[in-house]
Amino acid sequence: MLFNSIDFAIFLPIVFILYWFVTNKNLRLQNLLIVLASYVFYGWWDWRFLTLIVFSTFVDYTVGLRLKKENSQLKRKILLWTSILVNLGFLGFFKYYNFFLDNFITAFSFFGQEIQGNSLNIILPVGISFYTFQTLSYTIDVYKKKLEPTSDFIAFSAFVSFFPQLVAGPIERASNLLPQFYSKRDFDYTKAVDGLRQILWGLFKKIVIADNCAEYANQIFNNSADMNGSTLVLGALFFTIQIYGDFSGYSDIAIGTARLFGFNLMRNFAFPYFSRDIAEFWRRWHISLSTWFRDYLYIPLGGSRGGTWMKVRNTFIIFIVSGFWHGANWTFIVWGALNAIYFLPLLLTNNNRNHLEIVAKGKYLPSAKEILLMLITFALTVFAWIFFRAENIGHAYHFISEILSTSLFEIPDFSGMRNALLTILFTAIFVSIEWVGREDLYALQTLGHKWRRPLRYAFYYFILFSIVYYGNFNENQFIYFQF
Amino acid sequence: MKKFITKIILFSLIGFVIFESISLLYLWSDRYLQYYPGNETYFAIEKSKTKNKAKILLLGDSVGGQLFPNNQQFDNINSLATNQAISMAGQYFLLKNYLSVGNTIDKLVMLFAPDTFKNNLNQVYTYHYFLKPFYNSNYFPLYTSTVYKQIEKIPYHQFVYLPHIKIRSWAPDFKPSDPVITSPLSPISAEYLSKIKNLSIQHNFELIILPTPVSIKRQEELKGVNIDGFSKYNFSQELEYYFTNIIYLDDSEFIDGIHLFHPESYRKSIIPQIIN
Repeated sequence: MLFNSIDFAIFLPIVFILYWFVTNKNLRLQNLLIVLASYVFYGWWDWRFLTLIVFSTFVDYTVGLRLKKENSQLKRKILLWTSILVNLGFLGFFKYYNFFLDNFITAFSFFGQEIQGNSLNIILPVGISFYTFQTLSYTIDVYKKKLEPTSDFIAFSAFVSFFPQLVAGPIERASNLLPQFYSKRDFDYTKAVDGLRQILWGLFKKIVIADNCAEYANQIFNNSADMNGSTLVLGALFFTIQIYGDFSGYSDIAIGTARLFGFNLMRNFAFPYFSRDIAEFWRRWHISLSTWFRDYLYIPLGGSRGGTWMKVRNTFIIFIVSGFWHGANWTFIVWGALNAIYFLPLLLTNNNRNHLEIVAKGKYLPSAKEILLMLITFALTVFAWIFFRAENIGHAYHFISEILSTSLFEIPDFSGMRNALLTILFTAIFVSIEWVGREDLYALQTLGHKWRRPLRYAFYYFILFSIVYYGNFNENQFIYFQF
Repeated sequence: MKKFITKIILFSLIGFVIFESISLLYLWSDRYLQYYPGNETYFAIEKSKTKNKAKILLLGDSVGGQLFPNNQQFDNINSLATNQAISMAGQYFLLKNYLSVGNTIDKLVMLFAPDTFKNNLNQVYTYHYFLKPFYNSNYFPLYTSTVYKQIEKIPYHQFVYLPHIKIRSWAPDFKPSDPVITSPLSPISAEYLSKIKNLSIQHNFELIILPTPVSIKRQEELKGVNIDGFSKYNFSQELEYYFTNIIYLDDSEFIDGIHLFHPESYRKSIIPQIIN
């Protein structure tokens, strides 16, 4: 079920009413409702996907309990690796099987060895990369004795399948989300209103900004061979805005929906395009994944504690694995490696933690230096997104070659992009609102709170109107679902 | 909680009233049609209700519309070509409109790509292109039970009356559950082609079904169509003529495998078939 669908608009109030009016007296019943609602939400795509999530839940729940009882280090390790192999096994099979097979065949044929292998017609279960990482974090934390395993199977199932964040995050840590299923939730008016406001903003980001930008980004990327350099730059910019609007929009809807049910999910985006260097960008982009890799991969590998070689190695590993997590394509690996190259100079010169506060905090406008730094970081990010969006490395290469040609100085081709200027105008409004609200958890959180009520409501209606009348309902799939 | 629910309901109601009022104004002004996907259908509906002296009426899908756009004049040919998504039922409604205002014709030419016959009102486009223009009391008397049955399967088909749904290109993400139609003719196409044939007898005009050019890639598949299977229909001759007269062109002549890059080049070659 998509957040931006009528199905969800009907589903959400039904679950909300059952949750607060029917099951509110009994915590276990409330959790059970969450599990059932989450399975309906997930099974809406394809009920067969449910078998994976149920199996994964069962394995990690059992492993967690066994880890508590087991004292032998060897047996504990075996249990941990069982969970890792099951979860990564699912991921590897459904997401990477064909990629590895094709690359093995290509590699062998390069050395003159022809081998046979049949690609499988595998459907990638929606959100598999997200919930497998979430359950893995539980087992690893239990193994490291940072977390008590739960004996409440319903609470654990609700933690794994919690529908607001099931298919595209934020990838929650068990230590944050699981305890919230143990304690009674009371309805909090302020929290619920705040949740609705965040949902509204998320829908605006997704339907008005991302989906309209997607139309032009797709048009330009899909016909890049016929476009001049300046149009390709425009395409890369459209995609840059699209991916942010799409993914952070999803996160906003997820966090807002969770708040309606009395849950606090972790923040996933913190205005990343206002970053002054790449290190800051990665502290603000897809925070739940970055911190997951930091805690479960980077630090166990030694982090930045060792010598220069160790730092270089670990940085490349984490960025390349992060790129590969996004999809079974060399483009994602190059995207990851490129970000590692951007990041390394900052790390090696100890400048990776220069910008911990949001830019121009307490001020209306940034300084000239801050503007320059933000523009440079943004340009580097846009360049990297070309690889992320391209069909393959060759496509990215031709795309960039054309940008670097003299056609960069030609007038962009807007033919067939009837409403592109309107989209650009909406994007400008969107960026302005994000700038004004950058010190909050999301742009709309406190914006307008001091305004007179009619004006504030008029503003909310304006956002709603923009969604209904200017929203693009043809590009409705969320990009990150494919990951 | 009470305060929250009250506020939500109030906010939604006020929003709904404002939305629908603005949409209604927009709908009445017809301005939304300027950039509306599928506006050729609305244009064809209006045109079908006006008097015209042309003796040849042309109905068609989007390829037919490329060859004879419905907003252009052709000597003795009046084009109401739209798109395949309106289905054969929609084509029949246009013809009924046209005849009911007193227009008389000598010939009805139907200009279609082969896949148009497969439309069984079971596509994702059905909501936008068929329901929005034709799901209203003007056309209900012309519906067959098959049409009603198919529409029942489309989610949120009742919402189609809401002004803000009408003026937007939104449609539910509808995945047809029907089995794939392997025959070249869907049940709805068969029903309505039969009705069109009956009208031709009743109003004494000739019915010709002509093919638009098709990619050479599909030659084998289309040559394999079992023409003898059409004998049960009252329009079997027309269909036989259709499938035996398809012109195959190189795939490079098509934008997307269906629509032509240069429709004007083929218009001239089709006109003699229409006139003679």
